[in-house]
Amino acid sequence: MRSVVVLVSVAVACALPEVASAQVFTFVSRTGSPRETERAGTTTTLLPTQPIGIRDCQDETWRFRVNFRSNGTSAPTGLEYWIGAEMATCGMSVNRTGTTQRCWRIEGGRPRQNITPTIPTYSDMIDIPASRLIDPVNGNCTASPTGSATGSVYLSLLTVPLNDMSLQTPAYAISFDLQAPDAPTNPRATGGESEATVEWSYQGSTTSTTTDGGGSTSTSRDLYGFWILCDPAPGVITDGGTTDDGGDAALDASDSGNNDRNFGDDAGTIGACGTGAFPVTDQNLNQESVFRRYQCGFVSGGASQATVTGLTNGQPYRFAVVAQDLAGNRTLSTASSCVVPGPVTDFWESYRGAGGGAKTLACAAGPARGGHVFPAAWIAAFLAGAAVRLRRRRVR
Amino acid sequence: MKKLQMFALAVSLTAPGLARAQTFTIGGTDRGRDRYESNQNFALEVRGGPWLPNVDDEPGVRGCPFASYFADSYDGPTTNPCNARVDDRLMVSLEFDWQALRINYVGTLGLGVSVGYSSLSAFAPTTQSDGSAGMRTGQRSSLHVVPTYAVAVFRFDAIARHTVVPIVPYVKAGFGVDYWWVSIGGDPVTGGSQVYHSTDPRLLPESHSDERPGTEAVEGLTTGLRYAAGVMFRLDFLEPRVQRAWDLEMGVNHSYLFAEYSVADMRGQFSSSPSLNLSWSNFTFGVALEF
Repeated sequence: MRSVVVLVSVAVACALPEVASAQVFTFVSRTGSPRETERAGTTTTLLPTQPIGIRDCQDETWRFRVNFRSNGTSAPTGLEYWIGAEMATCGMSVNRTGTTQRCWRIEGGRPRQNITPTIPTYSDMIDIPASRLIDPVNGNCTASPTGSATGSVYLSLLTVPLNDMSLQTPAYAISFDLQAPDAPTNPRATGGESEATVEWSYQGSTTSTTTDGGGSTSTSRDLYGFWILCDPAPGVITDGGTTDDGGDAALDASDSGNNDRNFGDDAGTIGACGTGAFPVTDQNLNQESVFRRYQCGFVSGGASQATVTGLTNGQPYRFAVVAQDLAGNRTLSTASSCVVPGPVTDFWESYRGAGGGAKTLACAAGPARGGHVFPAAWIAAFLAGAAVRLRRRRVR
Repeated sequence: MKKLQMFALAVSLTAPGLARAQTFTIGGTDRGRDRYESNQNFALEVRGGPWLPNVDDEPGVRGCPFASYFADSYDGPTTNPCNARVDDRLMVSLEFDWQALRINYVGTLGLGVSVGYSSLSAFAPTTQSDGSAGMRTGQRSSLHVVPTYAVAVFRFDAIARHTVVPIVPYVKAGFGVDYWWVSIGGDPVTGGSQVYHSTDPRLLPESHSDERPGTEAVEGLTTGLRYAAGVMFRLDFLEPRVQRAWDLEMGVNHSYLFAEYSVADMRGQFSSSPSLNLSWSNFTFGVALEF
């Protein structure tokens, strides 16, 4: 019996096209995600171990180098790119069709490649949309074909003709996270001089699982940071007029001149605070042009407050906080109540107002503002004097 | 950066001289010194303790602007600003002594210089139309103080050197200069996280500027007198071999824990113009090394 099994195994092995190189897919790049330029002044290179998020899925393209060499006795007539729900399931036809299907052929892009049997080597650079990696059939960005919003998919190459003799190359694991994080709650703001302090609560405790190409996984807290959104947008002052202040024309048109949304045209009342819906909503949260228009700050990690600077004194503002997870997915809080930045009394003003008579350096020694006189200079002068005296004594 | 350069230049100029400094001796041979002990010329103290300046004691100041501004609690109705109570803050400082003269069988007389830091912070109130203070905002205003002083130090170490009682009483007296500044707003970083701003160019001119409104510091100097008396507890007897090895390898003769009562009479006595009253008195504690 054992001999039969061995013989059958050898026969199957000889019939299968062999793959000389164990690593068929080599990651080259992933480009097109808005996450690459979302931080002012920096460009972020997304790594293959970072999960694909909703915003990546919509715009991103993954590039791989493919190296396939068949030296079996039965050379394949073609190759196809497939996505599997598990690491090694696509070789069997039962997993590719019917109710037990666990593998799906990528229908967009370049699903099939013909190779020349006499030169059984295939080497290429392929670009696959992130949406096709997650949902190879429809290219949607809501869930994988198994219905999961988080997890991993496995890219592999199958030899044609497709049958139970088809070879599945070693799969390349790609993690994805299409689940938005928990929303920050209870946003509240207090005004300062040309600034406001925004605080919020956040209970999110989910973890993110990332998978590298080889399938190794690691977990971490699924939180990247918080964006602070301002209404009116930075630089916009509600002046009570009816003319456009130069804001986004499409956004202006979208609210039909409803001036309680400060898309660049004016609120109905001088110094009014927005009373309608916050201009960034769950519907336009992932529209980068809208989001960037209203963003006025970012804090990384698990912060629970941030100071927004550069505001206009006397102009009412309200704020919303957006949680962003490690896959770039965002969730919007409700809007805070309105605050009005204005002049504040610092300690010096309070002291002087109570009759304090101390003079500052500016008063005592001319215009010394703009930099602190480091007391080390005073100490250094003392030390230098001591050293000089000592040297003189030694010379004598 | 200029400050650092100036400090580095001063240190580089003075360090060689100090390195060659020695302790002069009067009163005969130093019999209290161990046969294998290295030369002892300096002392270094690292200290910390409660600190609260008496700003409101300045003549001419109405009410209690300092206490009411930095109030942590109230002893009575909040309508009376002088019911405000401010908790002590931590003052940390470093003192370097040159033990210039050994008076045998008694102790050492030296010169010491020190620099420290402490601050108070409170949420600034809004300025109402009549100029009075309104509700507290989320913006902080702080008083920062960098006290420096130069003192004569006498350490009565005869007890520790000639008996088994490991204590060294000491006294200090000298003058000081406190450098202070008041800030509003400050670093727009809270919660330990960096705030990044929009790529929107309308924000960049203000938010990326160090000169944004409200953060300009007011600064000044307060001169005065400094006194202190304390007791050092010599740690050598706990691990004599370790201390001896430390001396052989690094030249540290003795190590101490100390407690000191410090008096800072900082009212601008050496200044022709009125100064912020930064007087205080309290206990400080720390560790000291003689080397």
